[in-house]
Amino acid sequence: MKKLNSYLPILLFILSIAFYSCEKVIDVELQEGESQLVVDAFITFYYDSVALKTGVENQVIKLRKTAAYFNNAPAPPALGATVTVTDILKRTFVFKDDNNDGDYTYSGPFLLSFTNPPMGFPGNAYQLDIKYNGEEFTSQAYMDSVPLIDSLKFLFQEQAIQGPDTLRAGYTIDQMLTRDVDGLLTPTKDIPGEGTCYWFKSYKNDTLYSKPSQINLAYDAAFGPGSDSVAFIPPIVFNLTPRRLKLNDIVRIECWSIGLPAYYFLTLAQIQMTNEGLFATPPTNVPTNITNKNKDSKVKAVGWFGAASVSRITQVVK
Amino acid sequence: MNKLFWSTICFLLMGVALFAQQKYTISGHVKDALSGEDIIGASIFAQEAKLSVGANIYGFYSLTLPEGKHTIVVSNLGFNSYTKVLELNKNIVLDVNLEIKSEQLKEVQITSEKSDANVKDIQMSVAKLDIKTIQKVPAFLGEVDLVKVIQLLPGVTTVGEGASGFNVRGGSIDQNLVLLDDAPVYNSSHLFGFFSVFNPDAVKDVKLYKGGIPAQYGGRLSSLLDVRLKDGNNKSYQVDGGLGLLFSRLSIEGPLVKDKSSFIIAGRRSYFDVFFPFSKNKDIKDAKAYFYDLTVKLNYILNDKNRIYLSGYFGRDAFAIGKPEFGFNWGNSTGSFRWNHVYNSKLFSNVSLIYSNYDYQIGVGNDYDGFNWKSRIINYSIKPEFTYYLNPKNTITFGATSTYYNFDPGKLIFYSKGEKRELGSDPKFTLENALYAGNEQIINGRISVQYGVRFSNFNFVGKGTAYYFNDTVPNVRRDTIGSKYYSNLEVIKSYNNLEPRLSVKFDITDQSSIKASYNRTTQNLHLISNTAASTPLDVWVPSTNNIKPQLADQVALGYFKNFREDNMYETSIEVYYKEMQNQVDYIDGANLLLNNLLEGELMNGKGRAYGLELFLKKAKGDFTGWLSYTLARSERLVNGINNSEWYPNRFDKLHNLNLVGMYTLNKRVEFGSTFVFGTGTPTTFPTNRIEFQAYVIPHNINNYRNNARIPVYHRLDISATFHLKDKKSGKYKHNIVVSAYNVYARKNPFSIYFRGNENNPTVTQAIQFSVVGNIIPSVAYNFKF
Repeated sequence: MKKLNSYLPILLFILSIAFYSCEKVIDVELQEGESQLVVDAFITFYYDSVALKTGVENQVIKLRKTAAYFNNAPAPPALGATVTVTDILKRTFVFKDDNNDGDYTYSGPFLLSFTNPPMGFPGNAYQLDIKYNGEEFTSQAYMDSVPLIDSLKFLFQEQAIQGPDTLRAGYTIDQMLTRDVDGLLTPTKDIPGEGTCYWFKSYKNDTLYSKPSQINLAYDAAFGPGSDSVAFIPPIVFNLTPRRLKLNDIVRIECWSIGLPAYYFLTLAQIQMTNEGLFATPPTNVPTNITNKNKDSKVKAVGWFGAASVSRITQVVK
Repeated sequence: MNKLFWSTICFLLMGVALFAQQKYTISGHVKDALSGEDIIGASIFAQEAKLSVGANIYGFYSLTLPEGKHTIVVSNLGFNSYTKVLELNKNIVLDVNLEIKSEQLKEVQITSEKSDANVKDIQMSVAKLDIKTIQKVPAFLGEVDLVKVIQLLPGVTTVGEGASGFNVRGGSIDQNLVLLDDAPVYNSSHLFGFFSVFNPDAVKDVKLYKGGIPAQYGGRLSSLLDVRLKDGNNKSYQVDGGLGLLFSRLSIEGPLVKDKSSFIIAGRRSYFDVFFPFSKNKDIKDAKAYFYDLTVKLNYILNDKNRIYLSGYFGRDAFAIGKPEFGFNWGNSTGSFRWNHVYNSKLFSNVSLIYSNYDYQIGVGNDYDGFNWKSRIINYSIKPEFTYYLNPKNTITFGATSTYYNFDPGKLIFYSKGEKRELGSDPKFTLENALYAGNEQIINGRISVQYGVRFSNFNFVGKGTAYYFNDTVPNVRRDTIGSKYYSNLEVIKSYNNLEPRLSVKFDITDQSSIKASYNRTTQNLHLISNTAASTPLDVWVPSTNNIKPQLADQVALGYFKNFREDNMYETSIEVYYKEMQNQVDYIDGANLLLNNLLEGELMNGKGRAYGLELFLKKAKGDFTGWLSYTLARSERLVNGINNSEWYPNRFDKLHNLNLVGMYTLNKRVEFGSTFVFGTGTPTTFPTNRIEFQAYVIPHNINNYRNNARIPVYHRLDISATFHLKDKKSGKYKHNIVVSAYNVYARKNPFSIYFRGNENNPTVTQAIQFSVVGNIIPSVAYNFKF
C-alpha cells in the first residue's frame, strides 16, 4: 500500500499550485529519552549473476546506541559487547569488534563444502546473542530464498512531469529478467509461497539510492497477500530507478529476500521517515525483534536482526 | 431487551389514548408565495386559544382546537404574517402562501425561523443555518461552503484546512450523520476536504443536531447534519450562477406544471484543468484534474393529500496523469424518493426510498501490466415515518427504517505480465433495522418535554467469511485462529440496542429558558482512517463479530436568553458530557488498506468528551453576526496505549473562538469577516533516533501517543459584496464578491513532522506543515435572473 502513496506527491503537486501549502523548518524542543542499544544486522548470502558466483562476504553486526533525535553526530557505538550467532547446524560464530567502532564482524573462514556449508544459505536460521552492560539480549532470524536476476532491460523515457522531483529524459529499468529452464529470459518472478518479502536496493555507479523514500519493498510480487509467484508488478520495477539513467551508467540491483517480519519493520520504518504532508499517519515506534533475556529487566534494546539471501546484478546502461 | 422495547411502545400508545379528546383540526401546508417553496418551521398560532405549532420540514402543519371562532396567525421571519378569522365547526384544510416582506428583501437575516425559536423550541444543542447566512460568510477562494460555516458554530471544530469533515463535541468525523434529503453522504468533501459537496444554489436549509437528537434519527454517535434541498420554484423559472476562481456553478429551477410540480438542477465544475492543454509538458497536457457535482430535485403535488419528491446527487473528483496513465477518482451518488401522504388532518406520513453510494478507484496501466483498486459502500433504505398531531399538546412521531448495506472495503486487481491476481478484502453485507417512537409534549405553559426511544437492530450477514482472532497483548497485531463461511443473508452476528432520548424545556420568562437533554446513540458503521486528515482512500466497515457497535451517552444542560423585545440578541450557554464505548483504535503501525484481516489491527477503547459552549448572536439590523466560544476536552482510553491512561484525541482542542460579523453599508455594499482561534491539536514527537542501515528512524522511548501539541491556529478572513446596478428589467441581479482568506498570511500549522534533511538524511529536522501558508485573495461573480 505504501508504494501506491508514491503517486500521491504528483497529485499533491497539482494541489500545491492551487493551495500555497508550505513547509518550514522550525525549532522544537524535544525531551530526550535514555540511550538504548540498537542492533543493525542482516546475515547475508550473495548470488552474483554477472560474476556467476555465489558466496558469503564479511558478516557485520552493528551495535550502536540511540541518541537524542536532533543529535546529528554519527550514532555512538556500543563497545565491549560479546556477540555470537548460532545456526541450525549448531555452529557458533563469534563476532569481534577489532576496530573498536561497534562493527562486530565475522570474517571467516568461509568454507564451502557439503558437510560444512557457509554461514549464510537459504533455509538456515540464526540465533543472535549479545551480552552488553550486564544485560543479555537475543533474537532469531530465518533466511529465505531469492529469485535470481540475470539481466536488466532498459527503456528510454521522455522527460516526465516537472515537479519537485524532476525526472529528466533518460533510461529506466523496464524489466528484471530471469533465465528459465529453457534458457529464455522471462520477467523475474516472486518465489512461490505466500509472504516471501523483498527489499530492492538500487545503486548507480556504486552509489546507493539511500533516501528513505527510495526504500523499495515487496510482499510477494506486490504489496500484500494475493500476489504470490507472479512477476514483480510495475510500481516495484518503476521504483528501481528513482532517477533517470544515462548511457554507460553502471547499475547494480540487489534483491534482498528479507522475510515477512523484516518487511513489516522496514515498511513501518519507511513510513516513519517519510511521514509528511496532508496524509501523514500518527507517528509510531518501529517494532524490534531484539528481546532482553531477562523479561523483568527495564532495559530494552531496539533495531532489527535479520537474514537475507541476496541476488545481485550489475549491468551497464546500453 | 425486546420486552422492554415493546412495553415502552405500549406505554407511549396508552399515553396517546389518555390525551385523546374530540376537537376539530386545521391542517395544511405553508409556502412561499413567490417561489412555491415549502417554509420549514413557520409558526401557526391560534390567538384565542394561545396555542401554536410549527410547520414540519415539508411545510405541513396540524393544529387541533376546540369548536368556535379562532384567529389564526401564520408567521415566519422575513415574511408578512397571514391572519384569518374562522369559525371552526369541522376539520379544515388551510394552505397558506406567505409573501416576503418587501423591506426584508434587502435586510440581512441570520435565520428564517421565528425570532425566539432558540428560547422557545424544545430542541437544544441545535444550530440552524439558512443558505442566505451561509452565503454571507467569507469563503475560501470565494466558494460558499456550508460545512466551513458549520465549523464556526459552538461545539464544532476541525483539525485544520484540508481536513475533511468536522468534529462535533469531541466526536470523530465518522460520528456525524450527514443527510442530503434523507440520503446519507459518506464523503462530504471535494478536493481532499477543501470544499464540501453541497452546492449552495440547491440547498434550502441546514440543521445540525449536536445533542438531544430526536428518536427518528440514529446511526451515528455525535451529530446529525440535515441538509434539505430546495424544491424548485413552481411559479416561474429562475437561473442562478456564479464564476469563481476555481469552479463555476449554474442552477436552473422552475415549474414543470405550474403550482403543481417543479424542478431544480444545479451543477458545479472546477476548471483549473482547462489550462492543461496549453502546457508544453506532455504529461500535463494529457492530465486530468477536475471535480464536478450535479444536484437535481423534482417534486409533484399529486393532490391535497399526496406529494412526491425525487432528489439526486452525483459528484466526482478525478485525477489522471502520466504514461501509462495513473488515475484516481472518487465520488458520491445519492438518490431519494419520498412520498408525503396526509391520511387525515392529524396524521402525516412520509415514506422514503433511499440509495447512497460512495466509491473510489485508483488504477494504472492495463490488463497486461497494471492494477485497478476499487472500494465502495452502497446502501438501500426504506424509511416510513409518521407524525400524529394528537392535540396541540402532543405531537407523536413514530416510524421504522431498514437498510441493506454492501461494503467493498477495497479490492486490488492487478496484472503482472498478463497474469491476474487479486488482493484485498472480501465484501461485507449488513442489514440494519430500527423502530422508533417519540412524543413532544407540552406539560403546561412553562414545561415541555420530548421523549422517545429508538430500537436498533444490526445484523452482519453473509455471504462471506467471518474470521476469529486470538487474544494477545494489547497493541499487537492479532492473528486468526479460525474462520467460518456463511451463506447469503445468513446472520453472522447481531447487535440490538435501545436508545432512549429525552429533552426537557422550562421557560423561566418569555425570553429565557433552561433546557436539558439526555440521549443514547449507537453506530454500526466505522470509518477506518489513521491519517490526520481523512483521505478519499479511507474505508467504511460495519460492526462485525470482532468490531462492536459504538455507543454514546450524552447529557447536556443549557440556559437560553434573548435580549430586547424584538429578540435582537440571542445568547446561550450549554454544557455537555459524553461517554463513548467501543471506540475504534489502531495498533501501532496498523495496516488498514487492502487488508482482509483488518480486524486484527483494531483495538477498542473508551472515549469521553465534555465542554462548555457560549454563543452570542445578533440576528437583526445592519450589523449581524455571532461569537462562539467552546471550552472542550476529548479524550480516549485504550488498553495498551499510553500505559492505559486517558490521553487526548487527535482533534482535541481546549479553546475555540469564532467571531463572525456581517455589515450592510447600503443597498449596494456588504462586508463580511470571520476570525477563528483554536488551541493546537495534539501530535506525537520523538525523543530519540535509531540509526539503522544508514537511515535515521525517529523513536519515542515511552511510546506515548499525542505527547505534544502543535502551535495555536488563528486566521482572519474578510469579504466585500458589491451588488451591481440592476438591468432595466430589474429581474437580472448580479454581484461581485471580493474576499481574502487568511488576511495576515499566517502559516497556521497543520502538523509537525520529523525527517532527515533532503540532501543529508542523517541530519534531522522538525518541519512545520501549513496547508495554507499565504493570504488567498479571490473574486467571484454571481448572477440570478
